[in-house]
Amino acid sequence: MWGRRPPFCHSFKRNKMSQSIHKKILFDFFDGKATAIQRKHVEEWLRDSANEAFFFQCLDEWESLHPQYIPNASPALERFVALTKNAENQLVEQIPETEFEPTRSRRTWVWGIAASVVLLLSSGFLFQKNLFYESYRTGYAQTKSLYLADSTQVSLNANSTLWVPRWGFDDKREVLLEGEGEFKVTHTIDNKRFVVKTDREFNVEVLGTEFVVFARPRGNKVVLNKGKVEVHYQQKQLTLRPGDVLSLPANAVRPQLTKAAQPERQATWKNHQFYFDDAPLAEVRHTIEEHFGLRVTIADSGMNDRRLSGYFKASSAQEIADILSALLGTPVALSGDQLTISKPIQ
Amino acid sequence: MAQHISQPDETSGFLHDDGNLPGTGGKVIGGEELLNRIFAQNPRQGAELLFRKYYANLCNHAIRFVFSRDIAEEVVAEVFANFWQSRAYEKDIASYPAYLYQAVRYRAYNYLKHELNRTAPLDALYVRPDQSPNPEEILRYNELSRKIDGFIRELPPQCRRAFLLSRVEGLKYSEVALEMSITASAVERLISRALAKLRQDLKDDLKN
Repeated sequence: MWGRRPPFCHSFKRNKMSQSIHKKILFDFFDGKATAIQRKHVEEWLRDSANEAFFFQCLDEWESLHPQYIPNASPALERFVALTKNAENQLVEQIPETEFEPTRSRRTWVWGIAASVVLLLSSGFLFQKNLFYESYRTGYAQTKSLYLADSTQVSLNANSTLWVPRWGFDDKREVLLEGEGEFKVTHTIDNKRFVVKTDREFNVEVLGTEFVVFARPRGNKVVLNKGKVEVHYQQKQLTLRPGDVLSLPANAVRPQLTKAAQPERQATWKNHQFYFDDAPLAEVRHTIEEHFGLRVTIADSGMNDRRLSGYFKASSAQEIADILSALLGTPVALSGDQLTISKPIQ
Repeated sequence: MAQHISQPDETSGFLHDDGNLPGTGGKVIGGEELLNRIFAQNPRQGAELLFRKYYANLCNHAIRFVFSRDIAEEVVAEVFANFWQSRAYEKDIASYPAYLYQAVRYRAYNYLKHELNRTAPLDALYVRPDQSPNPEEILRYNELSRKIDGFIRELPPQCRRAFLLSRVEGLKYSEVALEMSITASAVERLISRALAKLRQDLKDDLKN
């Protein structure tokens, strides 16, 4: 139809191209906004058939962002499932019962039943979780940015895990978070709700907005940057406005609603930056412990009340130790995963 | 290329212990490989998962070519039926979206070609050819869908409205006539004018 693929294939060039293609270029191309040069670039890149999968994966994401209409999938799915069942029955009839090996074909069929029974038996909770969700994790001192199938952008802070349905979202967009993450939720044409669940009774429900969710052993917290979210906790719900901070410490019964002076600074950890607004050292200590996986010891309990303010950049445990030492004017020692804040030198 | 998208960490279960860097300690299974495993164990479950995941987006892709809901849904249903009946899942598919999108494109394209040029033989090109498609061809499909969209945008308003109501919404000529307060024969004229223009515009693209 459109001519055959030219025999030109240069592996060196191909590798170089595959490194440099960006999803944004593909999206521009789908939008009809790519320049002739970009198009050529995409074409070169597609010569490597290994890149085809990424191309169609992006096309699928782009389609979900630009729906023309919402098809009613249920009847179609029913028909398809019926077809698969039907075909299976036909298959049974079609198995040739030859006179020479009657047992063999029968055995194959029995084995087929056995396999599906095994699958059903093994679908315990863990299996289901692994089958239906994929997880994104960050280690200590590591942050990660990712896009979900609906183009919602998530930044994960260190030591956090996000579970996302592997087969796409159903009628609700639900993810499960452990740790801390910033969400920039896209709005869908059919107003599909986006829910961030945490392992406590603390779920955040939104419609296109930006917010930070914190779900760690020491408590849960939501900071809203833009839009509107509903927080469901203990069978109650609360609507947040931009700038609101709702925190539910682990040992507290009731959540606290406060205003963040600069909500956009709540996710500074994305760039390995830390923002403290007149925060007591005890709180700074938790942040450091969670982010770097350290155990922090404060030698002098009198120092717990010291407060820190400012904007710091630290991508390693040593850097944060140096910064603390400079701010507090005390020696701060790092040894393995132990960080010790000593008494000020008089 | 994919560095902007984090790869899922398949090694971590729900009950994981903290502290491991993603991807360490264990074999990483890609989504495709996992699907292949499900297909190996229970093809019907695999096919159903695939259908749930891609059906809506594939319909939205198909409608860009055939500009009719009913036909788009039929095309996608046929692709899945063909996928199932040909037992395509037994052939270790490297990328399910690549397989499905390309199958939908071929089928939608053939439908369009047949509709606009009834004398052309309908290609039996439902199954994706075994050789890797040419990149130019992959991109041309996207451009063809944009061209069709541009064509619909540029139709005179009345003509566009009649065309969309009849095609996309699947209304009968008499229903379109009622909706637009014109006669059914006027609707027919508007639609055949649109189709004639589309045929003319896509003459080069639909040539074999």
